[in-house]
Amino acid sequence: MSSSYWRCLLALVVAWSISAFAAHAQSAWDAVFPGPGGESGSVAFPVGDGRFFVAVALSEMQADAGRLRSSGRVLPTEVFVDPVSRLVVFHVSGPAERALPLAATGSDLVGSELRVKGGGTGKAGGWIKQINGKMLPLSLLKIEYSAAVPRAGTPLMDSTGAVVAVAHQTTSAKTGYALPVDVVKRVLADVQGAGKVSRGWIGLNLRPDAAVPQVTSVKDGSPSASAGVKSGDVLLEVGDRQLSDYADAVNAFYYLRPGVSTPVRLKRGTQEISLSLTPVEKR
Amino acid sequence: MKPSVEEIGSLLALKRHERPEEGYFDDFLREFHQRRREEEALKAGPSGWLRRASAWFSSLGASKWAYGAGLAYATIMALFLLAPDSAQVQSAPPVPVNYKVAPAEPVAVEQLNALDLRPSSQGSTGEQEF
Repeated sequence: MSSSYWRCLLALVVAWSISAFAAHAQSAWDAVFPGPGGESGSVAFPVGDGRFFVAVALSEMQADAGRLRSSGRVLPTEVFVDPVSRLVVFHVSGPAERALPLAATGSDLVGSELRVKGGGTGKAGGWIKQINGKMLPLSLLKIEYSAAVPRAGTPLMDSTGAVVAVAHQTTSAKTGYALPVDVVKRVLADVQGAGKVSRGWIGLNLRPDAAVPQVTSVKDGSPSASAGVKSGDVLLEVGDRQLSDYADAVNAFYYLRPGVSTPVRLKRGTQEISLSLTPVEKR
Repeated sequence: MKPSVEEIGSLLALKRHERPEEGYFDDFLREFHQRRREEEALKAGPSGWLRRASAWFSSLGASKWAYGAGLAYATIMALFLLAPDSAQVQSAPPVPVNYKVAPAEPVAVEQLNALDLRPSSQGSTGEQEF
């Protein structure tokens, strides 16, 4: 046996090892959801401690009947659904996978370049607050992709490799909506903390057709009443989100978590008031 | 044969006493006016045409009444056929004009409770509770 033979064999083994490692690293997790027209898929990716997988169930899909697959093999999971954002979190009990890091926030993405996991780039064009005159329960990012729109659930990352958004609904051949990473963090915090996805309720009313987010009424005994919010107050800031209109307020309220105290800044007449609201779970 | 000087002298004497016959100058004047009318009729333009037509019509004699009747019939029929239909030119019914400027109805904004982006999705309207 010549030394060249051994060298060739060694090269083949190394190449196979690299390809196997790459295949594992690129392990194709996906989720399938039954729907009226058959099953629909979403990309899934590990987050948190590596046992939570995030996917997106688009309209019409039965999110709570979703199944997580790893390279085509269905994994036993617990399923958590956020009915508002349609984000689905699968919890596996097996060994942890290497989780993708999540960026601190996705609220400052407009105009920035994003990397699409699996190839390609995208650019965050702006925030979508309403579609066809319908106010969204949370604002979406509009992404213009350099190539074809990735599948729902595909993570979009910044230059450091941290996930800043998750691909959602496709709007055209090269554009689509995306959920900011804040949604993933909010849902994941609920799932990891309380083992369920819940919504916060503060007991105040707003009118969608009003020019500014002005409180029209406050429920007696609600967290808003307890904190001192009054009818006629104009909301300026909820948490770390500045509000300029009704849609901004709706978006900020989506991120309220029951039991988590949230600073609120409002305007009453000419006076600016800061107070703290602690939402309760919405029944 | 050449006339003699005496003969020429007697002929000149006779010419000196020659006079135009009676009515010569009246005919001259009539002939002058007739020729003038004929020259005017030959001129171009509507007046010339009219004069020629009237001259031609006058020269037709008794058959001019038949021509006249035919022309009148053709004129009446042409007017009858070319007259616009009364139904077509009937004026449109008057449209009442509302001068009151009514404010536009406010568009009801729907609030979606979930990210259901289908066109058929429906949200709630009016005051929203959070």
